[in-house]
Amino acid sequence: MSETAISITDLHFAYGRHKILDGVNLDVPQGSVFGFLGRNGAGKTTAIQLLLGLLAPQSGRCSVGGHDPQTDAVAVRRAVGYVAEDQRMYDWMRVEQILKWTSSFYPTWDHAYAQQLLRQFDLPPKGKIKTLSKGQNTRLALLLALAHRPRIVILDDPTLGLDPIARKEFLRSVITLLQAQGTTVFFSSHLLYEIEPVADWVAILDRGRIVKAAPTDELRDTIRRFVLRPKASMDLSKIPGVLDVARQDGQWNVTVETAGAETRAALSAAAGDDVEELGLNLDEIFEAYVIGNRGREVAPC
Amino acid sequence: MLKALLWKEWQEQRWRVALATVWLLGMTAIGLKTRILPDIGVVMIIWNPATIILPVLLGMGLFATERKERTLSYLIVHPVSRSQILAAKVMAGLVAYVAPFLVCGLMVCLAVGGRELSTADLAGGFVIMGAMGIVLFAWQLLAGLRCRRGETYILVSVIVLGCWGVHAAVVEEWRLTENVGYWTWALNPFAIGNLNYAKPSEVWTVITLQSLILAGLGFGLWSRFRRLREGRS
Repeated sequence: MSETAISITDLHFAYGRHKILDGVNLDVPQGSVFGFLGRNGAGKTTAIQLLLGLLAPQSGRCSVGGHDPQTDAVAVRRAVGYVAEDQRMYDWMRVEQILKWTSSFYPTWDHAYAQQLLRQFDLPPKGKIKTLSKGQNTRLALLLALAHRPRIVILDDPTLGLDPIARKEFLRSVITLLQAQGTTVFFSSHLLYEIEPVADWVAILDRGRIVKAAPTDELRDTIRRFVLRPKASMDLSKIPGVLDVARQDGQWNVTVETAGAETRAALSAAAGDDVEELGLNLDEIFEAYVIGNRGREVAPC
Repeated sequence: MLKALLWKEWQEQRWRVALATVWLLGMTAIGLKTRILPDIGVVMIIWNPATIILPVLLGMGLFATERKERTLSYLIVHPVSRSQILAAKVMAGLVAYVAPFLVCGLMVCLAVGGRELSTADLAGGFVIMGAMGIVLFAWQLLAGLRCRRGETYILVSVIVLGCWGVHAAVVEEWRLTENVGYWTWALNPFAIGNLNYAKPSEVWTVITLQSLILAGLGFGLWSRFRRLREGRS
């Protein structure tokens, strides 16, 4: 996992005056399952479109599998398997027709593997795409993205519109399969419970910037929540790395980015021994980064 | 790859080609059989509107329908250059446009060539109308490339036709061909349709100017399609 599969450096993109990406920097390690998180409209799809060379950035660079999408978009798309959110395919084609048609674009297309996936995903070869269910459509899009055995798979909210069972099935079958093959999976989603069990790296995109990128385990280990009842006056601005502070009935929930000795000492000084330390799940971590108040809106007690 | 792209375009256009061929052939056959008008009148009354309507219907299917159904964003994520996608679309569009005229033109030449008009005159007329349709097709494609709905594409195409209609009226009203030069009329795609009545020097002016315009339209189309943003942000 030492090499980088996808690299983004100081990427800026705007639609007119509306900034979408504002200096994004990101490195995706090879072989990782990388969760790309952000609220709706955060710029995830735009970032992915830039990675595929479908859009041109105002400034900055990116590299996908060693290729620059701005100068060699065809090579990038050949090396990548991509499933867009709510992907629409030619509904007049039959499943076997779209397989044959798509195979002509990829020199590395593995026909035997495509047939294996066809059976595994339970898709009717003679069925017209317009007759497929939403789940079957997603599985077909995935089959088309995987059958040329790409080294990198980019999934842009692929389970959007699927029911919870179909989403679980999709994750179980697909991510596990890709993980076992050592494929790099760049997985964008706003459903954090989807990403948490499978992602070994996570990046949070907010208002066009990466606010955090780290291994999932490291995030869980370092980001902590302290529950306390301050006895003395406490100035939160002096506590390093405060992400969020919530106050209710005299009880404070302080979420900090790096719970070091300095932080613990500052909190103990204010609340004595009455400090409880809690770990957070990805959902809570995401919330702290994206809508956390950084302790600014809470008056010192 | 180009073969696969052409196959896809042909599958999408073939019913339009079939419909256009049947309609054109049927109407022309009825007109020529009943002899309600001289042969030249029948051909003009049926083929002139077809020259204008068919490119609109075909062009609508090439981009606007694909954008509306969001399949263009699926197409452009394949590892194929936009130039190839555009080339396949334009080639398929041209074949789909020319095929009905070619089939019907041959049938008409075989059936009534030499009856009132010579086969050469009939064939020449068909070539002229076909060429005018191709230039109009290019103008409409360039103007309607960004349309996300078929209806919008039709509206844009009608505006394009309207603009050239106004241009023709202005040239006529202000006698620009006499006062400024024949090139003022030769710019208009409808000038191709009038080549039968033009002097040899005027024919060459029209052919040269329209060839240059067609090349420019092709470049403009490529340039616009290359920068076309597809998908959602």
